[in-house]
Amino acid sequence: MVKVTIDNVEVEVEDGTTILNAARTIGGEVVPPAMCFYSKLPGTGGKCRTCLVEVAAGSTKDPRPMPKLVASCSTPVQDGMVIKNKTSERVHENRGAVVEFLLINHPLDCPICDQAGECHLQDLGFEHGAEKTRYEEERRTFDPIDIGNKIKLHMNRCILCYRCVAVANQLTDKRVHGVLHRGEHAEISTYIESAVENEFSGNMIDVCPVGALTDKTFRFKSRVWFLKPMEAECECTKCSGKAVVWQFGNEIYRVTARKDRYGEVEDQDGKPGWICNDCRFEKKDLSQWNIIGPRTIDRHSVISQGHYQSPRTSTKKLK
Amino acid sequence: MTYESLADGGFASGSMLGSGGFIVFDEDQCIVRNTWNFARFYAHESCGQCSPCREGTGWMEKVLHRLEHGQGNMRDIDLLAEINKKIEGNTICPLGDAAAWPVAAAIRHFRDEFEWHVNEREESQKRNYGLIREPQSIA
Repeated sequence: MVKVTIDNVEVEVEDGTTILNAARTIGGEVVPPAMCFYSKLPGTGGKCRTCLVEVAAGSTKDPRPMPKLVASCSTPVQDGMVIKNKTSERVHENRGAVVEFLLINHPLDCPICDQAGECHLQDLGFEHGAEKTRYEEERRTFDPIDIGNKIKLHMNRCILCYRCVAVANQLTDKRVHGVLHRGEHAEISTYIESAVENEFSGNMIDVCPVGALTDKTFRFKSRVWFLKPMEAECECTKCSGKAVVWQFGNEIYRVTARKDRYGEVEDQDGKPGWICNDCRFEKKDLSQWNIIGPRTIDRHSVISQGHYQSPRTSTKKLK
Repeated sequence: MTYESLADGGFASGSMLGSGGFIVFDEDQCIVRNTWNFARFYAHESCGQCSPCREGTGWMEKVLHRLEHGQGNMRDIDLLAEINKKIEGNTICPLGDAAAWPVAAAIRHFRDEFEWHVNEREESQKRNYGLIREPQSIA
């Protein structure tokens, strides 16, 4: 066990934990935002640079500060490390810069984007973004490609976090999509236009932090904040069958995995609760699901302002 | 100038030799054009993994392209200086730093040439070297 201090809060974590995970054990405001890191997918992280933190003291043995800001998602903690996140002006400045870089080529079509309301880039832009863009050139666009009848790829919105590539690598037996080209021209694509068809490919939608990968069965049907998230179960042989159904009246508009406050899939029975495509795309009838109760969306985005909360958390808020 | 004299990381001299190679320009060379050339190289070489480098190198290349082709503004010069400050040190690999430094140095040492490209747009398009000077006869 090692002791680290994050934003003046001391915490004891296991050796080899990353700074981000150590901050998540504290929770609250000291947690750096993460766009590309996904704790359930080994090998992700380090790319988006939104989780940069300042290390004011490297360790007890060598208390020199680190000259550069470090990516907290891929830097392991050391005993006696002092980390500044919210309290550092430098971090705030550079995080704003990264958000500006992420947004200069983003289409900002939130009013028609299905991800709006649960988009991590929206949250990040709200917290750290500038009022106006300084980018005068034409925004980068890509030719649309068809990746199947269940998932819609909208490459213009992509921030190239590589999470969906990790899903395809780790959850499915054959990966047909990846990142083509490099630099500004890098894009998620299927090389030879083929459909992404796999029992677990739908999880790409859940891991996507922006609206680049969306559910075709839910496309333009409603806004997420009008829907009522309910925890539900079904008997499924392929996956855990534990999901969240998003209802409008008695109709199920879409099905997602159960996600925690960081937008990551929660563990179900000791395993990450990925859900299969049958549960996600086919079971759109209430009779197929066993509704357990309302689902709390514990995120700072707009859907957490919804009226459907479990009594447990609502009483907590009243106090 | 020796490699050792600059081997302290450039903190004392304010410069560095990098890989040890260097390019010599004569005074007729347009700094804006050459800086644009460097920026274009780095934008082309960026692998596109981390966001500051992927977006920043392309952005700098576009702003420098504008300046070089007589469509720049005074605020573009400050914008460039700010973009490279924001790429520097925030990327995974040193390519981002390497892309930012030549632009920063060009603005620090030759700001007048950038300003000339903005103030004398037509003139800068006619003769493609920096400062206003009578063309010298070759004979």
